[in-house]
Amino acid sequence: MNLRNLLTVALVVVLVAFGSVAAFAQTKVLRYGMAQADIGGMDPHNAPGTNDKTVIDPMFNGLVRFRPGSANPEYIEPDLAERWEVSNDGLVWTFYLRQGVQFHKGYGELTAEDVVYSLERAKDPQRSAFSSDYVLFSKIEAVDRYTVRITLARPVPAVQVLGVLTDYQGGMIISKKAAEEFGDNFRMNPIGTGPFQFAEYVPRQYVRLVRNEQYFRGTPEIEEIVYRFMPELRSRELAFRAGELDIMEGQREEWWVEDISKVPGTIVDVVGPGEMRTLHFNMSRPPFDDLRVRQAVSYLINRDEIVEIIGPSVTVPAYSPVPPGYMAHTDDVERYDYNPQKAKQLLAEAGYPNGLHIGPVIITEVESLLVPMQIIQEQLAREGVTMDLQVVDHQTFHDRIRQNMSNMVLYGAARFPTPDQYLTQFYHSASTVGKPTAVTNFSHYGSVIPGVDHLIDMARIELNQQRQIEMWQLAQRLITRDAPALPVYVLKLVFVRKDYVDLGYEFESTISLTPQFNERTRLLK
Amino acid sequence: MTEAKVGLSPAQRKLRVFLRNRAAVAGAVLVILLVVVAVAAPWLAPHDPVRQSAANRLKPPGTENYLLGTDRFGRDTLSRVVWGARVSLQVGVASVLLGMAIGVPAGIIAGYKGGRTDQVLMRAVDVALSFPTLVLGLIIVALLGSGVWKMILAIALVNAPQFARVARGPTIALRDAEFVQAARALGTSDLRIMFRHVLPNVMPDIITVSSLWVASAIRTEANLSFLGLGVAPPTPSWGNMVREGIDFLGRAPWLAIAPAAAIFLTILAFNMLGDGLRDIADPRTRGE
Amino acid sequence: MHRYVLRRLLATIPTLWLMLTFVFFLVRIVPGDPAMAILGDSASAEALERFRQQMGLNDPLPVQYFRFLADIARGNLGTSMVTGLPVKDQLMRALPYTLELTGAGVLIGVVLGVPLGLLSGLKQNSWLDYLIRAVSLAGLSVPAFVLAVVLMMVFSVQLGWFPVISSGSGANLVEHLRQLFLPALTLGLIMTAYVARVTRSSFLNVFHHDYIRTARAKGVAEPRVVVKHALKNALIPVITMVGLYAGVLLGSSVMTEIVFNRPGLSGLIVGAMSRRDYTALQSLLVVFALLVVVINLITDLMYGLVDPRIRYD
Repeated sequence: MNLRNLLTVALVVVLVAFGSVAAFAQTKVLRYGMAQADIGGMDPHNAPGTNDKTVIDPMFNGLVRFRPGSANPEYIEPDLAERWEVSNDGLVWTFYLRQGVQFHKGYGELTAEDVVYSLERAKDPQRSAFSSDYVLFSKIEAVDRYTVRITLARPVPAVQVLGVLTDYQGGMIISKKAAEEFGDNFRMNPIGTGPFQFAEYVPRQYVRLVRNEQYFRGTPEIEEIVYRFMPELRSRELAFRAGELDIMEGQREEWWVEDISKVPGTIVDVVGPGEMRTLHFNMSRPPFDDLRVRQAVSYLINRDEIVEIIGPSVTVPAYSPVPPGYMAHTDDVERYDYNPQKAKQLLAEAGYPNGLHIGPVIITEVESLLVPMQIIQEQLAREGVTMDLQVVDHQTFHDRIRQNMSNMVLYGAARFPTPDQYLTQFYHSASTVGKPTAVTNFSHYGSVIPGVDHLIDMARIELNQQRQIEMWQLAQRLITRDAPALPVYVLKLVFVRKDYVDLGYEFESTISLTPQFNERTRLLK
Repeated sequence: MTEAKVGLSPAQRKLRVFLRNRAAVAGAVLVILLVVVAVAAPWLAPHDPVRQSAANRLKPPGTENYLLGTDRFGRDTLSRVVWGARVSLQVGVASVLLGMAIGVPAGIIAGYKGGRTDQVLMRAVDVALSFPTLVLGLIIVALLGSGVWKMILAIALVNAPQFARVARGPTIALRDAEFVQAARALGTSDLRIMFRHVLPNVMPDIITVSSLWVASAIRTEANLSFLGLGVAPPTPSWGNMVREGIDFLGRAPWLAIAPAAAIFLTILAFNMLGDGLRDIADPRTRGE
Repeated sequence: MHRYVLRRLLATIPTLWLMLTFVFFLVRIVPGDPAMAILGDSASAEALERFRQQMGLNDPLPVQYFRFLADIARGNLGTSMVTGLPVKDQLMRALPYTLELTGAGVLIGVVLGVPLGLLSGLKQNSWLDYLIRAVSLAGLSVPAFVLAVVLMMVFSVQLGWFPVISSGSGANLVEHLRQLFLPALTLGLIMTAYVARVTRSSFLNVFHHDYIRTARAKGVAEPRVVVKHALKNALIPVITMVGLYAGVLLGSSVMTEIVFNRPGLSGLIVGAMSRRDYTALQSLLVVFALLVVVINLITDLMYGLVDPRIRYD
């Protein structure tokens, strides 16, 4: 082939290639930039990572749901169940299902069988990460094709039953047929009833969902959602600015929010519930086995300064071990406000008149925890309280803090917005790290000193809502008195979208920590 | 060779070669300056490099008291760059020296001995080299934790096999050179040949490359910082400063530019110095 | 030559075994629990235990080790603990992206670096020499992620010529190359800096050799001396460097891949590492190691092509 022929061929190739670019049809695709490198799976009962929930959310429904754009348990409304009844003794709950709801990809109509299967699965510790939420469900049965009856071991307040039946975690209803067909591979073949269905997963790249044409609330306006995994803030932001993303998870710091707001055509959503950052003191050994040291360190941390540095618009100062906005939250607790004099005095009394060395403190490289930890480190250092801060990768962090290797643990978490999960996981003796039932009680509260186990246990089954709230509030007061941990602030969620993305609802807060996309979400362009 | 040089000892002659190379002298001066900055950081830095100041966050360069501006915590950039010199020079130089001390002898032995020795050594090098540098670094940091000396060890271990490879190539070519054969014919021991005859001839290549490795080591530290695992905060290193600064590139570009400029200056200095050293080490250079 | 290649390939078997063993134990001494990394921080103890059981993490180490060896020997790379997908599939998907990126990076490096280095060497101590050297040093000073971000800010956001998301999923060749361009340029510029420096220094080194002097004394014209004698000998260290750097580039493409959202091998490895996905990690590292061995072999063979004095027998 001579040079001229070669050039001709090259030209043709280029022309054809450009031609096909032009021919590429415009579909209504929503492009979402996720702050994670990958997902673990899409099984709602077994994929509790925050990032996984983002992708799972539009694929499934619960019997009931939070109102879109809200995470307030007071606004729980019907979803797959049209209505429900409760027996007089509060033990038997009967749910009447919507008829004609179809599962994705031809897996048939949703029936009571699927609901029973899903809830049994969510309750089974072998197959679900949320089994503890369903321990009181003694019997789950299908009365007929469209009726499900749940019998409780003990009557509990309504919110505790409905809460675990929402379109969140274990409450998500999956197709029995698909789950049995795929077994463990269900997490890569999720089949639900939601507005969008699974289409494609490319590890470390993206998950693509396409709309469920038969969605029972109507065919969604958007045809496709592409969740792109982009852990680097900078590349996510540049892709958004260059118009390659329509919506993205933002940096949860005020300077960043200010900057991105200046980009024309941008809407910033700063929403709840947010994750509360709590500094847990490891009481299993010195120096934090001494109440005075815990109090002193608490008095040395200047919340206002932390809030100022990270930004008042994305943070809310916190004092109670139950995050603000949760049911029964109270700020009527002992407040540890910045007070270096008092701290010095307490340290001197505890035998540290010339400063204190805390010892090893392990922290993750993840910025939303590393940044506040650096501020705390400096605030303590100013008053002569030092530590060996070790920055490790996120998995090593999770591993080491559970092996009791860190003398202080800064941890961020959002849970179901009633105090039960929060108090149980962080302050119940059973949740103490190192125990077989360990969750995230890093302070050993209740194990090395008496705690509030009885209040947590009693409140969980208290039917009288007033008394239940009182118990939870008492627990909050007792915990702050003993100071096993210092609640510091709540970090809100930041999402950024182009102004042509209409979510279809007022976006205030989100239980799944992600904007919800449903049949009403539109692209106005 | 001119008359004037006849009376000079080899060392004097080499010094003269070096001094005649203006770039090399400038490089040496710069390196000395950097070392001085690193050593005198406590006196040179206008502020405490870890001291935060909520009221003075993200101040632009030139703001009163803050010549190079401040970061998200209100820490003084200039002071952090000055203190960062300590960490970055330590990491850069120590890791290369350590890596060289392990790698070069191994490479020369492999290249000179050939045969089985070469096979075994080079296989070991292959194993070590065949892991992605960064993953090996990640694993070492995950095991040892982060700290300046651990970082140095990690980078040295990662780099040593590369020195071995670089040393081996020219050694093979030298093995059959006339002067080596002559030395062998005279009954000189292998060890002596390797270190008296081969090493000086290999060193020019090594030195040229090693100044690059200093750069690479400083960059590796930055890259580990990129993955969140560089030198632990609040200690400033140029690597973790660049990493932190990158997010602020739109808002506060000085945060990335200042440490990046420091890295550039350091690498420039080491390279100019390296070139001068190469001329000295090269027995063929006759000061022309 | 053929015998040499064969012998080198046979010699990689013990190397591979060493690697396998090294990799196997290395990934297991790193702290972190894959069960929790995958199931999340509020997973129940039962769920975690079941996962460990299922993935064979509770088996004695020697059992796991021999199972791993047997799998690899049969060419079975196993299944990722995280995604449940065969590692081979993920690998096959990622590999082309990494190879093409590394290849393009090396190409840019050699195409720009060798001429620049030669020019610099020929005009030793001229302003051109100093300029080339200073620019190449600047290239060495900038970490890849900084370069990547700056290139994106200029070419993607300001000019809009190339996409930020360079995932290589372009529908056609032009789009594909458009996506490859910025990441390849990032790696290529760094590579150029290295290649230019080594070319210059080794060219100067050779230039001082006696046989070049002899050739010059004999009156052979300058350009021919350069091309025929100097270049050939000067290329040996350059090849070593390029070979070495192809391997390093393969590994340092992590930054570039992450920043540009490219689905390559090194990103896969770092991802498996951060999830403690043992099964995927060990297989991926072995494949990576194998790739580097092959590159080394090619490098060694190239010496022979350039320098006939080196024989493989």
